[in-house]
Amino acid sequence: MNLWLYLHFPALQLDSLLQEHTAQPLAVLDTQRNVLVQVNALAIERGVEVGMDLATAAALCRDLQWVPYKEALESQKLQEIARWLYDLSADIVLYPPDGLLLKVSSMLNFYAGLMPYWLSVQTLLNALPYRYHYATGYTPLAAQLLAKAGECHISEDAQKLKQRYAACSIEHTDLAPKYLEPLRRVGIVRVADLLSIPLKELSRRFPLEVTHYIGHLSGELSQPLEFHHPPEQFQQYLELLYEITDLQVLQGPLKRQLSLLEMFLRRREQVCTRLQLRLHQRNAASLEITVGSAQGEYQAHKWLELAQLTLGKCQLTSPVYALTLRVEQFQEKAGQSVDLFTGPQGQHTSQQLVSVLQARLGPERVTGLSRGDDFRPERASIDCPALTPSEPAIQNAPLLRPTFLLPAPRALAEPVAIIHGPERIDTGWWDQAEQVRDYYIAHNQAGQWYWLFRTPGSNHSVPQWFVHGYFS
Amino acid sequence: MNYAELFCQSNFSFLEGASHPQELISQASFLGYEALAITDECSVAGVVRAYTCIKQEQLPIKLIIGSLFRLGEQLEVVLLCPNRQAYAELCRVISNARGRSAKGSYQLVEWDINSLRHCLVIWLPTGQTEHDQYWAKRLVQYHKTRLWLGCRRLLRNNEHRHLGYCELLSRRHQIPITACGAVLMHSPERLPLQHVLNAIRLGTSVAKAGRQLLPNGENSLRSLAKLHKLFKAEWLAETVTIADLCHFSLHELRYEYPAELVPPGYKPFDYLCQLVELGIAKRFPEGLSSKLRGIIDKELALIEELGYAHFFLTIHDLVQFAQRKNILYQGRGSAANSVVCYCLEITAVDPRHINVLFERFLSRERDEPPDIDVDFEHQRREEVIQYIYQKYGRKHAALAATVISYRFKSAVRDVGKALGIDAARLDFFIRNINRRDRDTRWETQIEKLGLDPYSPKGMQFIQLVNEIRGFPRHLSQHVGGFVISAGPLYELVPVENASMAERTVIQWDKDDIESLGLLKVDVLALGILTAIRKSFDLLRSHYAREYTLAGITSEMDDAQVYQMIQRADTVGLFQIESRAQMSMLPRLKPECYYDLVIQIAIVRPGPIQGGMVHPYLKRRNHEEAIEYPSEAVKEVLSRTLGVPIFQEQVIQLAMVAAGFSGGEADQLRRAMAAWKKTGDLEKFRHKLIDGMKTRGYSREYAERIYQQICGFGEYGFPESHSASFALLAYASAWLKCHYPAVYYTALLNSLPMGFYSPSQLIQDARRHHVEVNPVCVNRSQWEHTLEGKQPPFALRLGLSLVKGLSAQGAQTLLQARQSQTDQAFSQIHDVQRLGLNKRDLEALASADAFHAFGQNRFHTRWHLMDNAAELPLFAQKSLDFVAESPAPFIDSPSEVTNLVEDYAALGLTLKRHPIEILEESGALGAYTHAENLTRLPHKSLVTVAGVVTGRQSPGTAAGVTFITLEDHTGNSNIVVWLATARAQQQAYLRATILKVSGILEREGDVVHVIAGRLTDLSAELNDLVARSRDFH
Repeated sequence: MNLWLYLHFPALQLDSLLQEHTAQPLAVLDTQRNVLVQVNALAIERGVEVGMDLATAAALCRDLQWVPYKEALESQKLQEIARWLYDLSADIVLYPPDGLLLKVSSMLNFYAGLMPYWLSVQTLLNALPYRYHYATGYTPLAAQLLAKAGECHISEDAQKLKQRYAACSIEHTDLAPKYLEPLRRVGIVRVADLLSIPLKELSRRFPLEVTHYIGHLSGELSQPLEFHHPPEQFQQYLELLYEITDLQVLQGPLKRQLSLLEMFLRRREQVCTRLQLRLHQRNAASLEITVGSAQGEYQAHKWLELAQLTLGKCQLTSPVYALTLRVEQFQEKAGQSVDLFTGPQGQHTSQQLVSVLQARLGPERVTGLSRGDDFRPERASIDCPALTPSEPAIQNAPLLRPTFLLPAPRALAEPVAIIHGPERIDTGWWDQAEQVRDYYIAHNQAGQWYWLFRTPGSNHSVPQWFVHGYFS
Repeated sequence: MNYAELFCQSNFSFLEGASHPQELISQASFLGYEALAITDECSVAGVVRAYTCIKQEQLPIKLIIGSLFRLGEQLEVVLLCPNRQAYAELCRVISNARGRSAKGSYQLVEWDINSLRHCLVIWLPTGQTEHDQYWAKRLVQYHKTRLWLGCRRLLRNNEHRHLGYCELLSRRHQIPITACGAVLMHSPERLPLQHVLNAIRLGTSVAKAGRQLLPNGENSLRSLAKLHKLFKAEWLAETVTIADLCHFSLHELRYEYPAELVPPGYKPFDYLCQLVELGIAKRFPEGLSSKLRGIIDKELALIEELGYAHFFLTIHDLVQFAQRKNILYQGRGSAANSVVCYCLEITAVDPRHINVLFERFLSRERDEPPDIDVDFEHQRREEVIQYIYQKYGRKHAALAATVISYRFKSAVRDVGKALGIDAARLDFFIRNINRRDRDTRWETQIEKLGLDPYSPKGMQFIQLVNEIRGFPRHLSQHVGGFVISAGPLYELVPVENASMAERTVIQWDKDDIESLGLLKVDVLALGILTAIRKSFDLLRSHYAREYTLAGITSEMDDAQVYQMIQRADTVGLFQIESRAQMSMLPRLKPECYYDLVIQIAIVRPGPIQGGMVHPYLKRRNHEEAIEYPSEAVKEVLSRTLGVPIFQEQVIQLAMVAAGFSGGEADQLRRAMAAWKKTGDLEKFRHKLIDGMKTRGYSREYAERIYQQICGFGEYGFPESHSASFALLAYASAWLKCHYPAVYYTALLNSLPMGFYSPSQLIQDARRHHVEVNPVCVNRSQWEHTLEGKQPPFALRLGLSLVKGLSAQGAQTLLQARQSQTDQAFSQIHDVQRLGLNKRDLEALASADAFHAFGQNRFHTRWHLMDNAAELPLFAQKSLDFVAESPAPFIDSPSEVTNLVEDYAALGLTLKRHPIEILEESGALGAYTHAENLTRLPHKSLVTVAGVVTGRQSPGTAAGVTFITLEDHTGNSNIVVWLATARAQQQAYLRATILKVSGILEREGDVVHVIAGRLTDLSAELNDLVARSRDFH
């Protein structure tokens, strides 16, 4: 039988929060069930416990801070830990959101025994900020049971291990609560009690799940496992034959690396949206450059084009002696939809164009435009990320508004005749951009139609008039 | 230039209008409007408040009753009532439209509009040409002479186009134009609140609501000068023309009682007199004293003068029905405590015991309607309600509404959501703001919880929460206030659907009804009446003795009963069983009925906060002299030794000492009731203090009376209610004293009610030497029963106590038991084959209801869990399982696991008390049993231990928590001061088993332990469970 090691992380999310919070009692709250699922040491000191509801916890500890529980975040952290451990241990199974199972048997030869193996795993874990419980077992579930029961126990002694997990409460098993209650009500509270029941007796009272669990726990039934495979990365380090001071010269070596990337991507039918380029400088810190493509790209010449645009804005402070190209995230290559009738416009798809513009101007300066549902003219249109699909049309009827709005209102400096108005806008008190204005439609002596507004005058000041736009 | 606002919605257009009706009418009057129409959407729920405000403040403005209706996207009209017929018509339309829809919404149909014959119609074109053309023709066709086109100037975008369009419609269809304001706020300053309300309605935040919100604050009452600038003069003049057509006022509403109560040929009053005479013969068989005859004559004369004969007849009819159905009841309220009501059998309070009460029956001076509430057995009140519906018909009877308003929590939640504050954070605020902390306002507390009260958002949040509090959210049904009328109710007031099926409510609440002088009949539910009636039933069946409420309370002088009460041996008694009452009983030592009346009223937040308790105690014990500043005051206060204890006394004081008129005193009474909500009392202060000073009372005395009134606030308890409650308290005490087993059985069968859990009641019963037998499939009925051939009977717990056992399963079991010849099951299989589902069987097993068959609950349950037994093929074979030896892998429960199972399956145990078990195991160390506390001297150091059965922090005693600990010998009362609680929060808040060391305080027979050290022993029991497993 194989020996397994289970690592249980009881407070992944809490432990991953920044250290600055730890000066305060802190908890993670499952907002659905309104119970605390993780609490830090300071909170425990004050009597706060996992499983408490927020009201009780807050009564015990007035300054308790809390954050909502996020399972996705835990799973992500778990992935990270798995990636670290992958350097030490070959076969890893993820039990999201908070458990990892390591197959120990296959590593024992390599490490010359259990303790050396555990020592290196432990060293790594201790360097991470997460609390953990751990236990070995001759089945995955046995190890899991012990770890979840809060044990920290490494052993190869099958007999002792069995004794230990048999003594655990059935609450720590993976059995659903709906099975635990009827078990408790006939006095079965320990795993040992459960194991003492003949499977035949058990199967007459509980569905297969329960007997399967026991079979898996004891090893009478084998359990299929899905091992974790860390995602692949592309990383190429290239030492230059000569030092480069002119970025133009970098083109050649860069092209070589991008071609390798293209090959890598073609083989996998993938594209990537971001390159990390590191220029190692002789007498200065290396320069990190990120090149992005909104659409996802695999072709070397396209990437080269985008890289050059980005590099054009860079300044070398010292000669470059090497470069590293790294890609961490990949996407499946998707067929690009081209409108059957209009066909592609020009050489670039719109995504490509945005990539080019963003590479040249900086991503924040290329945005899209969408309608805002607000009475304030300044907010009638708003910036949005480029190429995001336009939102469903706003329900309200369109307002009578001028074609051209001045970037900023200017004071009115000529006589005008008011034709319509006022339209009073008094809104926005909630976002500190409160606006109280009376808008009018007027024309000047030359017959130009103006959109004017007046701010209400206080007792002392005369109301002021501004031009805000022109009607066509 | 004059103006009448004809289109104005109050906050009774829920989540739309942003001002109270009173605010609107006051502001309109202040601005010099001729008239104001309150036109809530398909509702007249807010009009009475505006009407009352005009009356009270004597505002020179006319109130017009009207309503706004929307028919989908196509039509918007305001209907106004020129006269009584139009009002009846409006009520009918609202009732019909509401009746077509579920609670809270309405559905208008074209016919509703076309069928109007009296209402004035102001049409508000939608701007959609097709609909407008259609409706212009329709409206002109049906309402030509009563039709206007309403034009609004709200300074909206492109408004000039809409106005042009309206003028065109007006010319084309010959409809005169009138100005109107579409008012939602009494002042533009309410705009943020209106935005918030709107966002709440849309289920979003103000930031996300965008252009669905109002663009500006013009939907408010605006100055005449401004209106003059905005509207053409003739449009403004038209508003006044319309207002002049409206003559209807709410004071025209007259209540007509249904005729069916009076036999043909009788006048109501004569019939009432006849009933009273019949009652006299029954109630006073030995004859009537001339004094009582005098009172009856006085009362009848007053009833005739005020025209209340019908009201008494209506209630008489209800209680007659209850008598016929053997439903126990008891009337209370000012009018209920009259000799007339005693003769009509509305109340069982015998006037000979409390003649002092009957002088304050109805009062000509106090301008208040007669108040009679009738309590019925809570489990059978529905029968009375059905009787009302059946007798008068749904057209003539409906429940009064209760206006559900924003309170602190709902305000925080909804305003916070509208401002975009995270829901979990709001929850956190709500849970952590201590509303009882009268030293720290919530605005300050919230700062500690992480909201900066000086940030713009923080300030807005605080202001809006305070503003929205008291705003109505929806109408709900009153607990039991019926309005019954002769004509169809919908001509008097609109009726709408309640959330309960088959219930309808009117659109006015009890204050509105009172303001209009309409009468309602309160049909309330009271648990103790159920318990008393069930006691009577048991006494009849087991003792063959007939008792009635009036019978056992006819003398009210049973010394044994008062001795029991004085000992505070009052667990399970009506009104005097709370911890606070128990600590007061040995001090006040009630000796007669009127002492009980005071006892019930004095242990309440009102008198406690008003500081009345200690003076009364001292005077009663002759430790303080009783003085009266005047004869008039003496008259009012002498029965309570000079200390105002009842609400009536406060009102009377205001009248005799400060010269309040009857009407003013009634306003004061209402202001007191609503004080917490509105803080309205301040305006009475001057009048009260000045009034008392000019009548020669010292300023100091006047100030003290005012403070007492404030303290009283909404918690003041009326003597007229206390009198009825005291009667029931006495009745319950009498039963418990003389027939404890009967009383406990009846009480347990009437739960939920009162302060105590079944477990506590059973503990108390056993301490009173009542034998209690466990749940048993062979012996238990559904309810708890008395067992035995002759007294003393034992109490057999019923199957209703078994958690998880369905009523149907129990019924199957009971039926089978009845039909079996040997009347009993002898093995599990006998029950199993009845076809009960597994859940029921397992629940019975865990409750140890199969104990008679010899196996323990674990084995029985395990056995019953077997699926094989359910298969028909095995049906026969399953017999063998019984014979089969118990499964060796299932343990027998130890004493403490049995205890845990008892609590899990039944909520109580009849075996040893957990504390006794813990004591034996040595987990508790040295401590004093509850029963021995009375033997210890004052100020001695003491340690007690027990299960925490009560934890109360009454608002009246800031910072103090009362904890009740139960051990196997009784209860001990712990007082925990704030500092102690803070220092030992964990034990204080969470312990289920607690050990307390502290100082014993004794005052007479009242013993408290002032907590010093608290030790949480909750884990001990779990440990014991765990250990019991290790050594089996």
